[in-house]
Amino acid sequence: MSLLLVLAFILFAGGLILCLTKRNIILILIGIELILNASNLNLIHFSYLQNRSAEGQTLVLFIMVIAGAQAALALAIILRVYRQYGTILLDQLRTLKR
Amino acid sequence: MNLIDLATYLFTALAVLGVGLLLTLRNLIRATFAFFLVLFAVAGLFAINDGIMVSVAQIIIYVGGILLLTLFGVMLTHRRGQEVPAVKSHQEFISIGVGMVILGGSIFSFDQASFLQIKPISSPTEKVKAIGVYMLTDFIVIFELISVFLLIALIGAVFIAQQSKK
Repeated sequence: MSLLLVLAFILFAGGLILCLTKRNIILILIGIELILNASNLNLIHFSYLQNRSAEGQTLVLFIMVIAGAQAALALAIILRVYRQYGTILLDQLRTLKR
Repeated sequence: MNLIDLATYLFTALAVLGVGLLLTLRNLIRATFAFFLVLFAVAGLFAINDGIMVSVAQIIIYVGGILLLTLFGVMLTHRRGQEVPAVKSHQEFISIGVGMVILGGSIFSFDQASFLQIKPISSPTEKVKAIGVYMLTDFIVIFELISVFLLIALIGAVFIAQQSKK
C-alpha cells in the first residue's frame, strides 16, 4: 500500500467531512476542490505505477480545467447570494425569493 | 532512505497537516491558507511522481487561480462581527463518522488489491512530450469540448456576478 494512495483517501475523506460539517459556502467549495485533488493524486500515482503512458496526466489537466470553471461559477453564485441575502451561511438561506 | 522518500514523507505530512487545519480552524482566512498548504504539498507530490508538467499546472491553476478567487470571495462576503455558529454536535459526529468509515473502508479494500505490487521505472521527460501528443490525437475531442466549456463557464460567471440595473 503506497503512502500516496493513503493520502488521497485522507484528502477525499477530509473534503467530504468539510462538505458535511461546515455551513459556510466557501468552505464547502474548498471541500469539493479537495475531493477533486484526491482524484488527481490517484490518477497521477497510477500513471506513475503503470509507467507506459501519460493518459492519467492528460486527464488530470482536464480535471483541473473543470475545477477552475466550477470555482469561477460557484464564486459568482456566492457573490449573487450574498448581495441578495446578506449572508453566506447555508442554514440561513431558507427562502428562494425575497 | 533516499531523498525522494524523504520529500514524499515531508509533503504527505504537510498535506495531512493542512487538511487537519482546514477541519479545525474557525477563521475563514486561516482556513483558506491551510488549503493553500494542501495545494502546494500535492503539487510537490505530483512532481515526485513524474508529473512535472501537471505539478506546474497545479501551481498555476489552483494556487494562482482558484485560491485567489476563493480569497476574493472570502473578502467580498465577509461581514464584521458575524460569527459562524458552532455546528450541533450530533450532526458533526455523524458526518465525521461517515468520513472515517469511507476512509477506513477504502484503505482496507485497496490494501488487498494486487495491482499495487508493480515496480515503477521512471522516465519523466518522455511524459511531457506524451501529454502534448495525447492532447492533439486521442483526446482532441475532449480538448476542444473543454475549451468551449471553459469559455461558456467564464462568460456565465461574468453574467451571473454582474450588478443588475434597476
